[in-house]
Amino acid sequence: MRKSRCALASLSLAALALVLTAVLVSGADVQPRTVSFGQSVNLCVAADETPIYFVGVAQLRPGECRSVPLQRTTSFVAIKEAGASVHVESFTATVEGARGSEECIFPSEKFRPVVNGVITVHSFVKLWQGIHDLLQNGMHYNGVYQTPLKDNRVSIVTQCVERDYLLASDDRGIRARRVAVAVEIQVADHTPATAAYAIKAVVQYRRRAEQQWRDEGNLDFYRDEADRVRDRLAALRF
Amino acid sequence: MREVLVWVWWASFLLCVVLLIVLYALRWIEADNLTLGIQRIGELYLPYIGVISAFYFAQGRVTERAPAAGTAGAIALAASLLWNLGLVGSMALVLLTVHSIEQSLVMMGTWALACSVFVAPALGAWFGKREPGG
Repeated sequence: MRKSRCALASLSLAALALVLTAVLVSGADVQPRTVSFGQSVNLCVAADETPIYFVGVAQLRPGECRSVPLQRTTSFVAIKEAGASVHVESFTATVEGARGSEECIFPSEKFRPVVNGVITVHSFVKLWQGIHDLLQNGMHYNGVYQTPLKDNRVSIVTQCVERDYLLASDDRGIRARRVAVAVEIQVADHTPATAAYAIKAVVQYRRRAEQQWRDEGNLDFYRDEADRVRDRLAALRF
Repeated sequence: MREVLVWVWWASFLLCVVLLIVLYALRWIEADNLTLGIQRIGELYLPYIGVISAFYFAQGRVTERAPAAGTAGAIALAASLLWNLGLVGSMALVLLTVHSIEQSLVMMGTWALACSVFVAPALGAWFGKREPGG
């Protein structure tokens, strides 16, 4: 009986060690993973880690935590660069009881890929910081957020905004056009790396006497906006 | 009086449809909302127009004289004007970009429902009259 208890205790310790090791490998964590509407989650970096950048939030030092209030289910992408190696991980915090909001968020399948290319990346942290800053401050997109890591790709996505310059068309029956973009980057496990990217867009219009937004059928509007993002992106150094 | 009522109803109905077509011609609305608008206007107007037209032609054959306009006629006319002004006004507000077509169609339905409490009995009483005067 005593032997079996010892074996059970050893097994429990081993399992705990495995869990701890798994957490320490990534070095970043988001807790709790499920919260109620308006509650906060903590983004933390293990004490013995290198600094980790949570895309769109902040670069956290070892042992540092940051509290982030959530109003909807949110994905966080953490990037750790140690020397030439790159480690990217995503966490999703689910918000229960989220209310319907005025936010203009499109499902990922609505975005049309219109511009593709490759870039040389010396730092993925700087790359994501740059893209985030470009979209939010340089191009005045509201609500820039991330999608979870999938097939080694991470997307930085914006909520939609109305753009007056998209109204330049022969169709005078259109009152407004709005656009959202997503910049999808393929993640490499080292730097420098050549990373493939895709700029996707959603464009919708609203007629003068209508309330509803309709998907724009003319792909030129998608390309124009994606080209604007690409041109601004090309000016950045990362 | 009967002619006036028939004219009020038919003119308002046609005006609503014309306004809707103008919105479509200006490309302020798309085909789905044009169809929806015509359906809604038809649903609201056709029961009244059908009954009014039927009474108008039937009474014209049965009695040689139309009933004179009295209290019942005045009430029927006032109720009809109220009902039709509300609906035509709702469509006009779209053209003035005060409301969207979706909002106006909802407003028309609500207005018609609220006013039908007065319009239906008033019209029924008036067109059901056989005796002149009233």
